[in-house]
Amino acid sequence: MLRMKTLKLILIRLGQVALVLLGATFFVSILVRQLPGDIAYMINPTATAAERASLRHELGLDRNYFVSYWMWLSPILRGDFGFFIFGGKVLPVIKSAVPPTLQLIFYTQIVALAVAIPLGITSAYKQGTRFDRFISTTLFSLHSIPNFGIGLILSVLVGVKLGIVPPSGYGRISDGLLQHFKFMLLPVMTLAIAPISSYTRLLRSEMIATMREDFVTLAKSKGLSNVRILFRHVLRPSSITLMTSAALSMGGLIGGALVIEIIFVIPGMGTQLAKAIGAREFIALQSYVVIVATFYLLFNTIVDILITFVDPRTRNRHA
Amino acid sequence: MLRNSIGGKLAAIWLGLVLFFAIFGPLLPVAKVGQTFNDGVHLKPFTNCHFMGPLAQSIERTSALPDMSVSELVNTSDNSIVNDAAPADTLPVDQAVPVAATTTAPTIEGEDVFTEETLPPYIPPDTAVDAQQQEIERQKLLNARQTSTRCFFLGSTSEGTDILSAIVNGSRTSLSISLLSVFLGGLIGCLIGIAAAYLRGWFDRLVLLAFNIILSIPTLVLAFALIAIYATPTSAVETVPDSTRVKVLIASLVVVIIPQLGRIARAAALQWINRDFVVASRSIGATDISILFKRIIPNVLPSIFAIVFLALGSVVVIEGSLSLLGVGLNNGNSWGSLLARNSTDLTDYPHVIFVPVIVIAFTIISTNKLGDLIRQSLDKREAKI
Amino acid sequence: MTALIKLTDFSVSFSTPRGDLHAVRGVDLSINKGESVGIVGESGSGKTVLSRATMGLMPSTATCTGSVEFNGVDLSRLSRKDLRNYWGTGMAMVFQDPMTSLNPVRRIGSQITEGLIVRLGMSKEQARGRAIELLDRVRISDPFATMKKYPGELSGGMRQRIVIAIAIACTPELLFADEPTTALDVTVQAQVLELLAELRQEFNMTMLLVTHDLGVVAGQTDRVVVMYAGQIVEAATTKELFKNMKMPYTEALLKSIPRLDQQAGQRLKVITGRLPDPTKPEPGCAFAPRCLYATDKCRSEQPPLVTTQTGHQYRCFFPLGGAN
Repeated sequence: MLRMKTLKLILIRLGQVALVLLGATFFVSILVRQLPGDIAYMINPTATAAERASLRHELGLDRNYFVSYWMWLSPILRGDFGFFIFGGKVLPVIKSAVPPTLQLIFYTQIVALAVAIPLGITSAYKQGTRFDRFISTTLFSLHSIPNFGIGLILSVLVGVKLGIVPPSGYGRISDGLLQHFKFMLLPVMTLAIAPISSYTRLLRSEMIATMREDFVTLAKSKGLSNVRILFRHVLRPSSITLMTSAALSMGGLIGGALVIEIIFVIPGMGTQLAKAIGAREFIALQSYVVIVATFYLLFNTIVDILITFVDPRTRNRHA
Repeated sequence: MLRNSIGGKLAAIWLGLVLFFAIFGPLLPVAKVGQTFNDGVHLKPFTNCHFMGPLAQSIERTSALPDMSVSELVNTSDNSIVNDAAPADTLPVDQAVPVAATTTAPTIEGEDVFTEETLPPYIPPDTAVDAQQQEIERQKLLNARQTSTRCFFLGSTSEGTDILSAIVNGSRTSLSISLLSVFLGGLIGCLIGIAAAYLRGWFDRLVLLAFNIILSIPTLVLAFALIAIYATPTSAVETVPDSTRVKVLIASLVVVIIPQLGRIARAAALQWINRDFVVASRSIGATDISILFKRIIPNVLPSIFAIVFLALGSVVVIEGSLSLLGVGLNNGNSWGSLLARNSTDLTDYPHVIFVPVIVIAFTIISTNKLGDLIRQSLDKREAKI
Repeated sequence: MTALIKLTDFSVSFSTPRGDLHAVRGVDLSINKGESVGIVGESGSGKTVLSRATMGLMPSTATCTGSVEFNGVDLSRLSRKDLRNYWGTGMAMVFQDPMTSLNPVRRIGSQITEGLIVRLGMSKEQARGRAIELLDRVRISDPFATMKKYPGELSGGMRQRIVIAIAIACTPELLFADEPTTALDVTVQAQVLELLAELRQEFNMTMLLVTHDLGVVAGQTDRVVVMYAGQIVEAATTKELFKNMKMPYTEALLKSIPRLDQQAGQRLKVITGRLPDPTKPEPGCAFAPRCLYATDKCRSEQPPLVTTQTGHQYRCFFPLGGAN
């Protein structure tokens, strides 16, 4: 019974995501159609009128929005992301650009959670003490420094002045794990500061609120130790809120990763996006934006579904 | 609200200062937008700032230029001017910036010293040099003389821009971009959000779907794509004028902000619409319009206001990020573009990067702090109800 | 008979921005082993604070003075860690609202077995067996399935039975029941009270039943303590109290209960006025502003707690039915 219900919930959720994704891709395709001036001319200024017309036809620009959207979408659904205007397939570029960006985001989430959870628990447990105030002030200030600022400063101080790790660049995992992590260290540190700050603050306030709940008093009245109460009774309900927030911060992380990639010269999606703009590869740009949006939505959906499994409360709320 | 918070006071002071710079920038004794000195040599912070005492850096290329005749000057090549470093102590004392000079450095009087009248008299062109060449040299001389005594409190960029002046001038662009886009985006977002909450039904569902679609694309990526598409040169040789870039930048930010603030406005409005006092006033026959304006909007506005502060800060960051990504402004005339334009000098001249980063960070700390304080006082008000 | 728990001059105050809030003022109370005592009063009279503070479950903003002796040990002198040894095994509590007193994200089974494993050192298997016994004992129809459920999947009455099962898991000597039926449907209330009475007999527990309902107390307790504004205003055996009520406040409480033998259409008596502000204690009897029989003396002078020969205690200058 419960399984069926959960399955249904997941299906509904996936349906919503598909709808949003469809809307988002359509939105992006309209944007590209709205480009000021003649796209065909922009793509190839030296082309003759006939060539331009055939190019427009090829791109579906002479048809209505829906037809041209479908002409763009249907090959993508089959995994064909088309060609660059100036030559070459788009798919291999996407294939090589997605892993660095995903690694960057994945490591950042791990580092952020690994730092924020102990910090949040400790400051909740020691609320109001000097330690708590020090942590919250520091994190508040760090959170306010723009990530590109942190990135630039770190790459100068740690990368160049100290010379411990390379100030920029990227090493693939296959080229040596140590080298890979050395390259990733600074970008991940840069990106992790903002989520560390927000997760810590969230977990702290969430845990303080949970500690006032009746069920915590009940747990206390069983004669359990403080540490046990903190980890067994307070942390779990609070960490669910943290997970939701971690999923929501994905969008900011993806955006942040794009900028950080430029600063640290990592050949990921951000670099490709910037390149596509520089080369006025609008068709590729459209695909890139769609890829980014898809990943973002997927992350959120996966966490949503995970939470349904972890948090019995949500199951009953929907039921 | 600010009474018990030192941080809040500091934040208000900083934002006030930035706002002052943004409004009165052109009246302040700073270099004009785009004005360069120094022919592209980096200057360290505190260069020529004698009031800084031992911290003051002396300019390395100070020469006895004012004593040279133009013909002499013209005969000397460019490089020799730059490299002909004279000891710092030869700098005429009376031309030093007065100790009383404030952090906004050269005073108007200080600048007046170097107007055209004090230049050596115009000498008719030599046979070897044409008039145009001489005019260029005259400009260089003018620049060099200004450079020789001008206080570069925060140093200069490789292009010869005085960083302090660039920050002051940049506050105008940065602040107007963020204020304008947050205002427009907030206004449209609130209208749509409140209308959706009030009307419910298909309109609400449509608005929610539209918001979700826009929010499904990460903020920065969307703004990036929008600007890339709309502020793009139509051919490889053309460039997009800065005014167009600014307009497209603001429009893109507005598109990004609408769903973010709209969603919050909708949620806040929903929360108030179901309150008993609104139901009660409807039950005694109040019209929709009067309920909306008298009951709902006054209650929704404060919570929007808290978010607006946070949005102001994040827009400054987005603007900087876009500049770094190469689609924002690139004229060095906003904080972000100043940073982006000089980011390649990072290793050798980190102060060129640190200064705008710190200014942006202070601004965001301030907006976040004020937003936080507003939210706290709202929570207290809420708790009383 | 020996006193299991003995409160002497016990007071609890909270520091608030408006000044100190005296929730419990100078309570002397002694409960014998095996006894069942009811504490009655309207909301805000300090009865819940009294029970929680006796156990030591107070937030750090509260200050407790006076002594609490449990089996001859002064609990107020114990460190937090030593005090914990008494919780669960020595005394346990059934909380008021079963909706909020169970952890929503942990299975029922783990919430019951936790105390058994940690406090009694049982193995997981033993604890599981015992938990199923307990669930069966509190009349949960399918204990095996219930063990795997989350609180959100159960009704209020079921949850309260589980809260009771958790409380009695380590067979405490003293059970505090803090308004155990207030949040439940009327039909379920009687079942839960009956269950508590049975369990008390079976486990030979002493019980302190906190309620605002004199009707609940009548069938359940040996002795009743009536509290008002943090003070004991009347205490007697249940029989004596209902037969020979001395305090006007107790009378007013009783009259505010709806009864079947009342004439139809008759209005319920309400106690007019409100509880006094606990941050500003006034001279005189705390109930005087709302009392039908109050005189000038009541308003200016604090009545002492009088004990009659039968052990009936009351705090009134003009007791109902005279001084005897």
